[in-house]
Amino acid sequence: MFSISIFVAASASQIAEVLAGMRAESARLVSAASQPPPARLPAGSPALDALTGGGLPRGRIVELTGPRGSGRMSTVLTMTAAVQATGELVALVDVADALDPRSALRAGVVLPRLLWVRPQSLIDGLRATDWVLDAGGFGLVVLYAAGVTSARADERPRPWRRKSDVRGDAPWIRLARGAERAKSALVVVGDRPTVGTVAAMSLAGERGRARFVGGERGAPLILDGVQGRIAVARSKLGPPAATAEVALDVAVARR
Amino acid sequence: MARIACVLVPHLDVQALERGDPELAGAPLVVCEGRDVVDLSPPARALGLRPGMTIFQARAAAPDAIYRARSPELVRSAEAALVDLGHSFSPRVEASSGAVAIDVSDLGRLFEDDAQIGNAIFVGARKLGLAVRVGIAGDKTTARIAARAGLGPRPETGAASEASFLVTVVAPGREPPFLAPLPVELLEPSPDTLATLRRWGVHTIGELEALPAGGVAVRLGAEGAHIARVARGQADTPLAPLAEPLVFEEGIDFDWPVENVEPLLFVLRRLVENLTSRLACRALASGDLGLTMKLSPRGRDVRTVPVAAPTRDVATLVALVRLALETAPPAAAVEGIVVRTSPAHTRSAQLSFFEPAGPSPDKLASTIARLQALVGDARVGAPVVLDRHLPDAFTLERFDAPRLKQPGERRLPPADEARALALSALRPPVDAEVRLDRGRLRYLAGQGIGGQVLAAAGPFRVRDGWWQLPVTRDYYDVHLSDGAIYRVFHDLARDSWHIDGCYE
Repeated sequence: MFSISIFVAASASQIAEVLAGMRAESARLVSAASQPPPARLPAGSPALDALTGGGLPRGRIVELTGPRGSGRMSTVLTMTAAVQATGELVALVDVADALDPRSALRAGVVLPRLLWVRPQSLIDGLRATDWVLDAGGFGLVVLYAAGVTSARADERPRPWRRKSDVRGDAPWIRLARGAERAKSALVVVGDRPTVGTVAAMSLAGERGRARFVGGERGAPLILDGVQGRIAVARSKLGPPAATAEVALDVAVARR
Repeated sequence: MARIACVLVPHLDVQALERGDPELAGAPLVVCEGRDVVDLSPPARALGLRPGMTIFQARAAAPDAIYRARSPELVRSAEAALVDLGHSFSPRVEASSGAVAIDVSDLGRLFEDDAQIGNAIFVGARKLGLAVRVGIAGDKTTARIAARAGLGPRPETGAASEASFLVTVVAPGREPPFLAPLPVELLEPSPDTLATLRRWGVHTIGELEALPAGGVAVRLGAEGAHIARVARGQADTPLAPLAEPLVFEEGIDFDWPVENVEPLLFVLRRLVENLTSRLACRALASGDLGLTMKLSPRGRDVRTVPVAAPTRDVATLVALVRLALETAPPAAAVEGIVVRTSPAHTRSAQLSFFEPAGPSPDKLASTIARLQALVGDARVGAPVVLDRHLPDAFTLERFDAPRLKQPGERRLPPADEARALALSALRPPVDAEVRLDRGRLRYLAGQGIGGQVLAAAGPFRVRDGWWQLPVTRDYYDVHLSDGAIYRVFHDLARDSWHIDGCYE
């Protein structure tokens, strides 16, 4: 994305200053472009792998957002199972306390190799994610904050806490550095984009169409699955605007 | 050839207090017991004070000195730390008041010579907050005399480390010439025996050695025979190593009752630091912490602070204690506190040749303990599905980061298959209101959720806990007009409706 700014130069020194800034920015962009592409972890399905340009990038933040029912938990569990299959450990920092262990089991997650942390506020969740990244050795770290707003951040009163809310990019920059050091893929799940420009990739889920079977001639109605969509809203790693149809199938889960 | 190191803590009472409160270091500290002065720091001695004075005499002579009561708790902690130091060098350690004797005979492969062993002991003691004198000789009595004499070799040129003055090594077979010029008091004779020796004109150990051993034994009894043997370098008291259980305990008695948590934690931090330093001496880590608080005016508060995984990380342990104290503060002001830890071995892990390297066991343990302190006791771990009919029945077990694939581990579905639809749980379940029409769900509303029912699958009846607390529920998968699909249950026993998750 390009932005155009119009300057009214007051003096030659100001022009020189603006030019110096542009040169520095240009050098930074060239340097960033010349960095080797990040190593990837499998995202769990060919559609997701294609969408993410080859899998989850190690050392980067991928943000996944969408409304309730848009398949965020299913996507996270699919990624978890795929990453675990490569021998890596996975940590789920579940601020929403939303993990259903039976669903995880059905998705192929090996529960003993999943570190599940259930913080009670977003601030605790950010801190826990930071510590998990600092420990190192986790291939994938997920910060699951779907349905958690920043207003909940200091829900639990603690006298020694001073921060009352998550503001600005500072926590995300810290987490991005932590992920880079640990060479872990960090997936942040929320209702709407919050990570900002720190995220290497933003995926947006859309609520899908529900499929029920049965119901004819008095037969019971059974939930069969959901057809959803995930789109790349923004990416620093590849061509943007890709979209994938994602089938979430109850039948597979019950097999 | 036996080599024994004697490690002596001069002014133990003063050093124990300084170890508990490092701000006292370098101050003119006077330690009192009852009305008497029992120990003094070097700056206090420089003010003209002496042990044995009454506290009133001392205060008159030096009103600006710092006066503290002797703390048996801190002295015990300092002595225990000294024993731990000994065990970090050798399993054969004998403890006595304010000193330990360590068998260092077989350390030749680790250290070049005895002086290096002495220096290492000195440095280790410094890390534990103790300034010691070290003597190394062929037997423990001579080693103790060497430590008390404190006549380390002074370097001829250049600056020398502090340790070189406080470590005295007696070369093998050189005991008699080493002992000869030393004052006879270093043999620690009884006052009567010392007075007799003075009457004889014996002032140095060499002069005692010159006397006939038989005659000394006849005139001074068993004690005389013993000191005569020591003076000849023939001491035969064997080392009696300890066989005590491993107890790691640090405590302190306050000068006045502490009413707030913050100052209590400030002191606790120091105690935990001391504990972890001692644990490090034995390559151990801290398991669960036991706190015993002496309450004012009477009573005790005894509690255990669980530690998820053994760790020596002070910040983590203090955070856990903080959490425990803030959750349930002591019922009254605290007069004294003792921290005890159950020692445990840090975890080791065998790395797999074919799998990625996981987190280091130490760091993982420390992280899990910190997470436990942050989010609570039962909110960190690996999930385990319970063998129950209720769909949300699960528990958490300790996360051990297993590296190898588990037996019976599930196969990952082929990548071209559709993904499993997962439930995003709502904990606790949201109370819901429903509208039914001829037994069919028509409308559903809960906290932040509501809409017309477009389709509803169910009911799926679940019965559980019949042996204890029977639960009977009818579950439904409900597609609402807001676009999401919820899992709803009807509790038949209480005739209430709840939403316990949303298919995500």
